[in-house]
Amino acid sequence: MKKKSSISKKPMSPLAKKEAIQGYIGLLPWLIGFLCFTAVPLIAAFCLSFTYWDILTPIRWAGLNNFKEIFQDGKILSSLWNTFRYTAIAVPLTTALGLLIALMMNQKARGILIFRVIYYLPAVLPATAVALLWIWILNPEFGIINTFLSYIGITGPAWLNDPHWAMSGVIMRACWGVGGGMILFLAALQNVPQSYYDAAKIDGGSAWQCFKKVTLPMISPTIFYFVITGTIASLQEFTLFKVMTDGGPVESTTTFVLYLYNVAFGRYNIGYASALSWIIFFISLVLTWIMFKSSTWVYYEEEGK
Amino acid sequence: MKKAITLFLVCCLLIGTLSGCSSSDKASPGKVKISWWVADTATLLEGYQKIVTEFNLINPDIEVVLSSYPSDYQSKVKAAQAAKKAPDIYIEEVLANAATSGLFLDLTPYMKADGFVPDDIYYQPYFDYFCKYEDKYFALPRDVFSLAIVYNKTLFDEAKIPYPEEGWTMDEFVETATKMTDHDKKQYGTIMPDIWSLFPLMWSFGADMVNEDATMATGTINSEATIKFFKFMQDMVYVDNIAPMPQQLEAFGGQEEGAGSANIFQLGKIAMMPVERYAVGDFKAAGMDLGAVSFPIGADGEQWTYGSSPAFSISSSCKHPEETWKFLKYAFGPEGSEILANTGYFFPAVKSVAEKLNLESDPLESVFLQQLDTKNKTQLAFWWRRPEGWTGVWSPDILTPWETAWDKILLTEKDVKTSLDEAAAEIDKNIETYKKQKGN
Amino acid sequence: MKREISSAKRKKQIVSILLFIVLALGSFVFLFPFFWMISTSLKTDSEVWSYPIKWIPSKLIWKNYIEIFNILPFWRYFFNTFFITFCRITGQVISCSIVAYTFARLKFPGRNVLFILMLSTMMIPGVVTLIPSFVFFSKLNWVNTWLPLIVPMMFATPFNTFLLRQFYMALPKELDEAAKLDGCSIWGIFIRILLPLTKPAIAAIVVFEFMAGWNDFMGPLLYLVDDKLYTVSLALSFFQGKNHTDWQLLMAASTVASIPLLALFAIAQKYIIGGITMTGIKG
Repeated sequence: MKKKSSISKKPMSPLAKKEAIQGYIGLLPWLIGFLCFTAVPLIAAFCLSFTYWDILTPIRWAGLNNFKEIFQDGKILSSLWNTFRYTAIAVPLTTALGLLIALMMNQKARGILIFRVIYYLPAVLPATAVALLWIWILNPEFGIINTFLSYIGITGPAWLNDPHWAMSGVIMRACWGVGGGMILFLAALQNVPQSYYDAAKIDGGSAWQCFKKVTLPMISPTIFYFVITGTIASLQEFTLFKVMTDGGPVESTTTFVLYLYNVAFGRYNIGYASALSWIIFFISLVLTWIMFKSSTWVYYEEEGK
Repeated sequence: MKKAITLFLVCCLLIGTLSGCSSSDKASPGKVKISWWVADTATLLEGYQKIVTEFNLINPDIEVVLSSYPSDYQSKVKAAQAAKKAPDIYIEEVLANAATSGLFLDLTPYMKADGFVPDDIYYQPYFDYFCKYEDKYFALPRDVFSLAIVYNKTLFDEAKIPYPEEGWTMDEFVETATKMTDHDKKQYGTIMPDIWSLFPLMWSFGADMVNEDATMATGTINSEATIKFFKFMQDMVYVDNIAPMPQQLEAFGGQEEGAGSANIFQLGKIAMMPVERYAVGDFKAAGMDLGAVSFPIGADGEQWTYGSSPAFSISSSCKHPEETWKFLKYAFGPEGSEILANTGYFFPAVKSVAEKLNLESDPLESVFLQQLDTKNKTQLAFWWRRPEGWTGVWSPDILTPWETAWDKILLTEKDVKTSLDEAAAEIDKNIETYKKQKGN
Repeated sequence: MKREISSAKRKKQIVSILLFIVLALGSFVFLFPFFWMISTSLKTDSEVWSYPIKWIPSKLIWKNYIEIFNILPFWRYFFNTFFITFCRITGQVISCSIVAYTFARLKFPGRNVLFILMLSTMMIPGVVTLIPSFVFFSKLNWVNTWLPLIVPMMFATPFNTFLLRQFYMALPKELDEAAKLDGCSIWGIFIRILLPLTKPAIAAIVVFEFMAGWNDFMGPLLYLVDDKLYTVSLALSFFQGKNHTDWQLLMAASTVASIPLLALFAIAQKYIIGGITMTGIKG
């Protein structure tokens, strides 16, 4: 994203002013929704982090005690580590897979539609049903995975019952839903003008060079989107962990948000949960900022060729 | 064609907007609407539904609406409570909360007005323990349940081994389980039950989680006795191999409480298993030939068990307390209790119903009935009750570290003492946090 | 010359065939769980937990599919969910396009800050805003209606807006300049020139929003009480009990629930893939 100089000494030209006003008007479809529906709960959540509240008793002021508690809570680091483990593997993996599959799907061949539907299918199924399905699939005794492994002579691990393998099991399930990314990359690939490819070929480029010099830059905005939103979503991932493992075994898949949920709805400590949420918020913010800063590889047409 | 589609969409939009976007809290004219929320499904829900249907028939001016939210029930209830939109009837698990939070109705005046005397109707001390707080009543019980050990008669007959008998010792338990284990047939003598069914075994070892008034875990959860208990359980799986490994438990859908072990038992792979009364309903429905027996006698010569009684309360924001009490009385008094008992899943909390259904002569039920007699060492589920004077913490504060220790010991075969020490530290920390929260 | 063309063609054919083989192998991986799902949905209650595992049920219990409609009024829930989702999609496409264009093309003070602010609203776990949101909506008396599920979605949300913004930024500025020369206003450029070019992204958003609306569970759980308002996701949760999950019914219901999504995708992917050639830039 281009860094706009925020300090402009000279007053805005009437043309620029006109554009700015149009800009703010254009933001209204977001601003109104934000002010009415998002801001209120966010501010409330912020305020709650300074309180003790278990819903049954009235709200009481806690000052900074919740935040002091954070420093003494050992579970935070371990759950953050689990979250990091998941995000650091799942995001690159699903991005690469999604792109790869989209590239393969990006042809006009007959019957490609069937493949597209097949690969998209997993993303369509209801999340809870899929999580339960995968508990079956990862079943140590007779799940599909271990059964196939046994055909080639390997005794599969206990997957969701083994603290060392549970997270891998969850990540496998996450990769299965890669169809969502596939659509995105397909859309982006379709937006690359054929004329660019023609020009590259005329310049004598090989397939790999076409990919590197034309495809990748043209779809880089979409890759960027996918990585950022994928990271934010992975940091927040909840349903997957709650239904598949409920944080087990031995808390090896307890991610930060799951831990937060347990604090809020297991221990009824709403205030502390709200305080905790700021941690993941700041981590997400910092990560996003870093990614934006380092996004020089993203190529936007409007910035010239 | 396009016009037709547009017209169709517009119609849909109108219908949708009208039906979905206006609030309809009012019942059909003239009727009083009462909301009842539960988290159960299947047969249990059918039982509830039957009660509601019957009641609505008998009382045409009242309409009870039963809603079930099996997933994420807590989120729904807590949000409703926070917004002061709690349902009229629901379960508050901890009686002390029901009594002191002000969110629930004191039922005493309604009982007095109706001449409703709980002592005559319900099993004691269960009723008082789970529904009465400082001389005031806050709930009516749905059922009473206790724990016992059920055994698969078919397997015993096949192996020509005598059934377990009342008054048997822990050694006899291990002996029977060893004899009933046949690895060739993939059959095991017993199985690690869900956490709740463990408690009687734990107590019979003289072990426990926290001290008397729940102020501290260290010294109790990592005491010699508790370490011995956990080692005993661990050995059953890994040394004596008379219980299947937990991985195999999970293999049969063991993510929900006890579902896995119940499924394996139902498949006829386990000879004996400690269970809550509820599980028997499923087993009987599956056509199993079952026997039941009390827990083996512990090291202290006592026979332990564990009992509880979920109870429904009325929300204090209820708009029609009179009618709601009328329904509550029907649902969990003799009439409703009988309907629930007939589902096969609930042991009635009402004495007269147990007599009417002749449960005493039923070989299975009589064992559970026997457990209710607190002349034995029946520990009542104290965390649901939070007795006065107990600094009591939320049960998750104690149970979660305990469950983690259990997982470590049983799932990963970790050293017992270390795991329990870790659990002790964590529980104590939770207790400290809780005290700070309440203290301020 | 002829030989060159045919060898290039041959190469292309081989690559195509290889790709097909890889895709076919991959589909096996992607399809298998689904096969398992359908297989389970056709089993009897007792067969679900049989040991050793039964890949194909001994008897196909198609009745399961009928039974789910008997237990719950699925048709009504389909209509409900469709209505809510339709509103969502419409609201999102319109509002997110406008805001995305604004962030991508218009310059105004604080643009970057506001963009980051918008993104940051995605970073707070829903768990903590659950209760404040519910209290807020209940004060508005919107509980037990579809309003909390629809109205907020009439306004732009971060994920979709971000996506569209990326697409707008990938469109060449020459298009805007050409249009300006023709006398187009800022919004004219938007509606007449750029918006139509984002069709693939819009189609993608339609699919994503449909998925989101169809599978949204927490919203309907919290805000709906009357069962005549329930959505498909709520209905599915009904098949999972605490002590007892009717696996075969749950799988049957999940299969039925995913059909509309698949149908929509099959249609929409034509638009995503349809390919809008960049008129005006073609060399």
